[in-house]
Amino acid sequence: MRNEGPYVLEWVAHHRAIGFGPIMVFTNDCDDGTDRLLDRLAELGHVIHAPNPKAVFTQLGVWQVAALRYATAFNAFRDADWVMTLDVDEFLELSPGGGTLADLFAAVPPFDLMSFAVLGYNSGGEVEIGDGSVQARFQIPRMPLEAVDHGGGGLKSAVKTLMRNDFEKAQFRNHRPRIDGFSGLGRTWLDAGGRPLPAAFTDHKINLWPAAGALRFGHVNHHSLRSQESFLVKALRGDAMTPSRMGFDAAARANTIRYWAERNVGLENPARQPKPPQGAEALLASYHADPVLGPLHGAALAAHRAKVAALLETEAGRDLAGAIGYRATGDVEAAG
Amino acid sequence: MRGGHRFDPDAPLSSAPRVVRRAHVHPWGAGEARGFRRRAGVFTEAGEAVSESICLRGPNLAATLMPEAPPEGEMEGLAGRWLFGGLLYTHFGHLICESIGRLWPLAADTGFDGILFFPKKKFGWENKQFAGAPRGLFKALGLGRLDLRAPQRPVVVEELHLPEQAFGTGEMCAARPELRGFLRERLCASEAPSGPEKIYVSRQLLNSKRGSLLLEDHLAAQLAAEGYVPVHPQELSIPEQVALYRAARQIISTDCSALHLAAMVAEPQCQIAIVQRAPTPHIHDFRRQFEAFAGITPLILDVMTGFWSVSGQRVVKREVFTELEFSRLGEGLSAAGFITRGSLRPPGADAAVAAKTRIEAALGPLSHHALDRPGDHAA
Repeated sequence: MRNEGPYVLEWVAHHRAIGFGPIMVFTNDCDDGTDRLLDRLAELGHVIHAPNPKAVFTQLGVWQVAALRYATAFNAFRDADWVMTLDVDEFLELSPGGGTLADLFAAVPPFDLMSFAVLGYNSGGEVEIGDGSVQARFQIPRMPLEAVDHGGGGLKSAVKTLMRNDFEKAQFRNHRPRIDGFSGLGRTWLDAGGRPLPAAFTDHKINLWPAAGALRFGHVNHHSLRSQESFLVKALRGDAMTPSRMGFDAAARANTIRYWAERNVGLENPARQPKPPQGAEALLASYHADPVLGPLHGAALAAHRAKVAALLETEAGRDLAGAIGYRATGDVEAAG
Repeated sequence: MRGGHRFDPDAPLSSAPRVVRRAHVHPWGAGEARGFRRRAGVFTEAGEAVSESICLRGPNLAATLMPEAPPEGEMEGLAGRWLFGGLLYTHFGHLICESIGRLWPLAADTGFDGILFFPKKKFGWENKQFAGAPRGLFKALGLGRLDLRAPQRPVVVEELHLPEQAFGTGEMCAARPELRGFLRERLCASEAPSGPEKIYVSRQLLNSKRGSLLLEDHLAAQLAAEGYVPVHPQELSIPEQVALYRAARQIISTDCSALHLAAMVAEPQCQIAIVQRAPTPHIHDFRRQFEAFAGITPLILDVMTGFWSVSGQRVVKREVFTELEFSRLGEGLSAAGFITRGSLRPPGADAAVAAKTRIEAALGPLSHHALDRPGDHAA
């Protein structure tokens, strides 16, 4: 993570409540207190926080891959029964019972891996960073889930994969592990519809798969935009995989605008209430009540608002803001 | 070119320029380049290397290496009597330290037709190398009537005088007596003192890729409240700067190349405070230069705690954005009488984030580097 301060608490609370043990988080170059929030959550035993190794060994490849490789060197990872990688803008949503991993395991016959479809959300027309909450504010999927489940024009969706952590040779990757010759191992890899995935998927480094009928037990809600202000800060922060994908210079500008435009579709779709896991709300409330986390969350919000304000003082910032249709609410009031 | 050579700023130059008739000048010679060093050199007509043409960055650090062989083929001929000036830089800091160190014979000898340089960069149009900073500096030095050449191809010079290089970086930043005298006399002749007593030499309007203090705007605003008039050297002519530096009685600046000019003309009673912004040993160059050129010992304030550089790019320490401990900066400046005690207020909570945001919008994401051991950043 880098500069995700306003969004950390909700995301950690959600995935702790779902049933994950300590969540390993790697950060670099935060100036909004993201790293301090994670340090406190580590004190509470809810996360394991370490710097991204690329911050020190700059010759390493991209940020995200460096973090994933590094994670596997920790005993906490090696000792885990199940592992999954999720970004801070991704929320695993499980359908059975109270929406926890225990409910999932109770509802589905034994399996070794389950790949969940990733479903994107648009900005919902939201402008401001607000209080940093995500799932309560951004509820308009780019395509209605029912349409995705029914085939949605043959839509292939990116997947995120929950993996039993006992494979001799599994390369831990963002969307799904690479396990050579998986189909010959006699193990079970399901989609979230509970159906075995074919060798065409399991034995190849394929990250996209048809989502039709694959939503029965759960999916991942992906909020890659959030609000316009949030997106401006994200553009400033840069992309964890491809530097030219996000930014303000001439080379990245067009890509950044395209990123927004491609994802901010379906604004007319009906809102959908996500189903957070049992206990997530109470856990989040306890985080906000924590004497360290509460103020740090507030400081992170202030830092992000300060970034937006400073950005709008620059020509490049105003240019991008204009291109995504940004109009500060203050301007609206001033205009009467 | 590393060796035990000691640079003595108090020693007069030992020799008159070497004179080479029909000098064969090879601006881009063959041979392996090493780091910033490249092959360029002067040869006699007989093909012997003229070691006096080796250009230095510092006393034991060459900026050019002799080409493996003299130039061949058709060459342009330069008639007349020429002074060899060394490497011509267009970057102001290098220009002022490394491109004027051989001009000292011009104090007494008015019989030259021009100054001949090696080009630092490959330009298609030779005169472009002189546009801007170089031409303005040579004019301010009273050399406007001389031809200036930095040919990109080999030339044969009728008579080339190669003086000792008396200025550079590192210990050479103290320069040698003949050159110090020449520069002060010429530059002071270019403009009389005129301007405010207190000035702050700013980097605020420089292209942001040049680096600065992360919160320079905050510092400049606080100093303005204490009466320091901001000066943006890159927007002023050399004589305009000379007037300001001569008139000033208190100068606060970051370590920036304009200080090299200030040291050449500042009056001995002027007080200089340098707020270090680049965590490199170059900071000592300014101390050496002010002491040798003006008899001033500048107050150097190293209160750096860390810096930001562009993510994913090689860190150039002279082009980073430095974080300061403002409380210690305020103490240092007030103890030396530059500001009133307590007048330098710390920045607001989000000031650093806002400053960084503006830089990131221009340059892309920045990465943080910690600096510990305050006071030890020049090592």
